[in-house]
Amino acid sequence: MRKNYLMWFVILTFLIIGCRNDNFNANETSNNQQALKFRVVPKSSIPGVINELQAKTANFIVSLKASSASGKSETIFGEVKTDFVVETTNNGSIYYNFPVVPADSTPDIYNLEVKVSDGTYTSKIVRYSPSEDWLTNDPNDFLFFSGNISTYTLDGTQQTSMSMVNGSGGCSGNPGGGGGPSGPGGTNGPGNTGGGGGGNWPNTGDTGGPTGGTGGNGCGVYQLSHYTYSQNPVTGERYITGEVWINLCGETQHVFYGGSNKGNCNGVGSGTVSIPLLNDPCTKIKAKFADTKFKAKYDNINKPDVFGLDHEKGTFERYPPKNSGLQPSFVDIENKIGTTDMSLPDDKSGVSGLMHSHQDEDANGNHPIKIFSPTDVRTFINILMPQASSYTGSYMNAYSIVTTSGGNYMLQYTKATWPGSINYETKEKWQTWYKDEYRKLINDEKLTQANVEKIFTQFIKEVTKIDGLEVYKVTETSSAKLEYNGADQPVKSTPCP
Amino acid sequence: MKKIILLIIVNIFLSCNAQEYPLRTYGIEFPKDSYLKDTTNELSQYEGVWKATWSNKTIFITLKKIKYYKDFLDSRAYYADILIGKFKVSDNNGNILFDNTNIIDDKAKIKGTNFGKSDNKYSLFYIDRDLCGITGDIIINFIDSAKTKLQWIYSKDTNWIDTDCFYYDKPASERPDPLPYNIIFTKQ
Repeated sequence: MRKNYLMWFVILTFLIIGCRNDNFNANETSNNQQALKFRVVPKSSIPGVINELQAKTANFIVSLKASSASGKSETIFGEVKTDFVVETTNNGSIYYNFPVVPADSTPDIYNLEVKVSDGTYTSKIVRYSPSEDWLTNDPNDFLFFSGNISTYTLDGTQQTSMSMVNGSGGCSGNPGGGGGPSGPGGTNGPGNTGGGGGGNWPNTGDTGGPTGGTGGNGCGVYQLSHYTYSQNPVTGERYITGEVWINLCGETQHVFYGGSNKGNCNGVGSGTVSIPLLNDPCTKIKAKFADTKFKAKYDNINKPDVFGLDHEKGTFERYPPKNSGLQPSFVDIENKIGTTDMSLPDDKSGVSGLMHSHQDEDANGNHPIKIFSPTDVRTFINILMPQASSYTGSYMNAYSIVTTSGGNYMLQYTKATWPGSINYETKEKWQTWYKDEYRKLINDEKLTQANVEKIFTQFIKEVTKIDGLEVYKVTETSSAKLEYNGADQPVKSTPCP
Repeated sequence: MKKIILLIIVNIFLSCNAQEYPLRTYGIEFPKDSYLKDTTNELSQYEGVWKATWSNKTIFITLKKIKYYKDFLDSRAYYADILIGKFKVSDNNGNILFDNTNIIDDKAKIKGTNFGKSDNKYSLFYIDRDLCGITGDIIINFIDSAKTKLQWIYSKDTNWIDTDCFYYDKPASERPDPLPYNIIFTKQ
């Protein structure tokens, strides 16, 4: 008997250790039982589900009920994201949960859930309409969600509606069915949400399966990055509210525990809420520096002997074609021998990232400005962004880094649409302004790095005027968004969390 | 008569609004449509044709003072007296290698910024759209009391070269090198 227990312990331990990824933070795993209750699966492993969705939707576009600004109900469209699928098992049924990205701005959160039971597929849209209090207090904690949870068929017919307060509630027409308010009294993690709620997450015994494998674009598979937490206001104890998964492009997906799987309402069965966060530069920067290949290339051009060279050095990152299963690659570049010219690659396919150094003094005794040049910005917009869109699915995955002895900087873009190509005339106008302003700094004997940053952020804001173009000051462990704050104010620096 | 008085008043009003600053003004943001004026005619001394020879090439550069409207920022566009430069470069056989002397003043490839705060060195920058966007900085200053010798220091910036550039992938010897780096020009 004891042998059996020992064997099961060893097997379970092996599964737990083997199935989590390397980024698992040992300091944050004091209570991660619930983290083991789902797995992220590649869409290639669930062809039946994907085919079902393709057949039942307009090429993964679905109609969503939403509240307009005037409070009236309206229909908007949403895209079902298939590159991040959460699988759970609940009462003998398997649930696949997909994030749905609405085309229009709305406070509502949408998921598409496919239930597989006895070979039958049942799909529904789950809509979370949060209360203002919940949004204000802790929008990351779906275990204590307040607001309304509704489910719809794929043709937009409402099936159920459930009003929630602090994670408990009942079906429409049966407001008491869910039991009393649960309150954040549990000290043993989110499983203890108080009595009467029924069906609180987690409630399955699944120990999880292999993670990752969710590819689909050039950004590689999603990996567990870290957990999100909330704090019990009474005991002060932290409990896990969800997980953040991230791919090589820094695209992140939140999987929140909760979703209130009230079986008696025929409500949400998966017990998870998936929310894609596509345009968060801070997370993207963090993800880049967590990539050991990127980090090695960055380190290679971020050292005094490189800044002491009489020419620039750099690397560009090439993303593979979508669905190729290949990893991005890095190619080193250097000045053409005997010139001050850096050559862009002949084949630019997939080239979405670029990093290069600005040395302290060039062969002619010139002191390059220790931040991006207008040509660097134009290269980012004209070449890196379109390639990022083609090869990773988003303009927001392009990046450009410049390393200097005065600090390192990274360009990011946060909008879904391309601002358009920068023609030569515009570039020349940018250069004229830029050269004139930096020369004025030199003539005035005020060429400090703080003033270099001020001129560049002014350049971004008032000269390029490109909405969504942002510059970050980066190190391998921290980053901060820099913004022009007027001629008489220092540059506004907003640290990334 | 009334019209004349009105015109005078409008003229005075406009004159009062267009503030003037001496050329060696530093550290301020110039108000819209103000005028950074060469009140002491420092720039005029540089005007004329200058010649230098280097690497089997001869350059003639014409420096000229113009009133230039710096309209990069709409809300803070202002006028400034600057030097512009147009040049012609030929080889030992008299073949013209580079010639932009016929370009209009506002489009000159060499434009001035100002003097250094504590020296008499005047800075200019060079942007050449015909040579794949070569850019660089130039510092000039007189080295003789007669002001017929001009020290010229040019620093070329690093430039990203793309496949549409006519010298993409060519060796250094086949790339354009239109300006001398450190040389003395003589007034013609």
